[in-house]
Amino acid sequence: MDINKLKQGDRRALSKTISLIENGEFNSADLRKIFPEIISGDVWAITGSPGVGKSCICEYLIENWLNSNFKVAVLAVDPSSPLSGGALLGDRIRINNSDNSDNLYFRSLATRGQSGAIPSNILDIVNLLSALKYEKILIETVGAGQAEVRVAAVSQYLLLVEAPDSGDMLQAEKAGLMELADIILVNKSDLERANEKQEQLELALKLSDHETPPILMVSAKEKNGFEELFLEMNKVSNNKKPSMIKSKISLSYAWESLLWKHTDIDLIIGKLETNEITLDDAINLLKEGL
Amino acid sequence: MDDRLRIIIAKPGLDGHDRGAKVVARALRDAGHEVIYTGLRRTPEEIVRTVIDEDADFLGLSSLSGAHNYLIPKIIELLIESDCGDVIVFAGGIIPEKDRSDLFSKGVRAIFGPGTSSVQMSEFVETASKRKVESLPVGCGEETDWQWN
Ligand SMILES: Nc1nc2c(ncn2[C@@H]2O[C@H](COP(=O)(O)OP(=O)(O)OP(=O)(O)O)[C@@H](O)[C@H]2O)c(=O)[nH]1
Ligand SMILES: [Mg+2]
Repeated sequence: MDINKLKQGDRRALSKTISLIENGEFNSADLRKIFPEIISGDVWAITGSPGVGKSCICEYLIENWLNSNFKVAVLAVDPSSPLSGGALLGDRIRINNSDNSDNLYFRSLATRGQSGAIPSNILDIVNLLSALKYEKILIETVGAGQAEVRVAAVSQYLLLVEAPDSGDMLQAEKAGLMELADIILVNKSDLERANEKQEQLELALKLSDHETPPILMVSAKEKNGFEELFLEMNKVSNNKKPSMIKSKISLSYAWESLLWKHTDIDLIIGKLETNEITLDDAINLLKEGL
Repeated sequence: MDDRLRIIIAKPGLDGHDRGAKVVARALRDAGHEVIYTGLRRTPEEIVRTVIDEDADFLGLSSLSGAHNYLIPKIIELLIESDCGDVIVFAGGIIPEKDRSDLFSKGVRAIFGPGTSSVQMSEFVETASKRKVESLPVGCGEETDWQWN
């Protein structure tokens, strides 16, 4: 690893370091030895069911930030296939400006192992990008499972995308995400039934006893509604106060990554598998090692 | 040991068909690799930036447009300039027999025609990556006569 090149902002050195983080060979503790003081960039997550238009929306967010001369980094996360371990990372297809600016760093990431390797490492990647003075960091994830909710919790701000034709998430899961979201977008407003979707969401939010996020209509196809979105995003990042729910999730997430980084984790899981120890024994063993 | 590789499938040039490129991408995913597909009509500069950002081990270039004689060597030249001469480059699509030896001599390590089986393709990927592990020359900027076919 070439620390000097990394410090100078060399893209290749950055990429190699991200690979080290993905492979568990470099983490935030190592990073702090190189960059003692890290000021966090604005970290936005964009999530929602498959195909709702997250990547298309990313293209405009990127464009808007680049036009304002920010240094931008995008992490596009897609699931690994549980069968082969491989992954098809296709978000670049819809993001036409993903590869044509020196002020944009774009990296596709696969979720990898069942233990949630990416969720436990993505915070280290975000820290690295912050250390290299990326001011806007955008994480795209498919909001379909627990791991993705946790990725969202790594971010400071969360955009939840819905679409009239999107397959419905499990109600409970959606309610959880809606409470976490800073802004809810109904994309594909050019389609019929977009209004219907918005009404449904508004109704669902009424049942919440927390402060609820604004719901905005956009069309990434026709590039409609984005001025309002940018204004709302500025508002959010200017008056953000930490929320209780989010702090809880962030804490449990950080706790869980500690768990997966435990030196004896594989050993303990092995013993659980063969019934050599009980769950209680396992917890006690884990506590000893923390 | 993790033998998962990062492979970019890119389409330089102007043609708008990417069925073949997508089939290749899926086959390599099913062989256990992380495959990044760039979408249509990328310029050599854009492809090289993608290789750098994604920390790719392999770059597969799919061309149906006949512009491969210019575009593929140009991409390799830019890769070498950007210190990415260790990246392994292969090509696919419609590349006439007469153009092949020139592309091989410029650093392409395999050329796959339309009906290539996915088994062959992943065999190439594994063999080439083994050479890399053994520190044998195989990258697009490394001096060697080795080629897959
Ligand atoms: N009609 C309409 N189609 C849209 C709109 N935005 C995106 N699409 C289409 O929706 C499809 C999915 O768009 P993506 O941006 O790839 O969606 P995504 O949420 O990133 O998808 P995954 O990353 O696969 O989960 C594409 O075919 C887009 O062309 C919109 O505003 N209106
Ligand atoms: Mg996407």
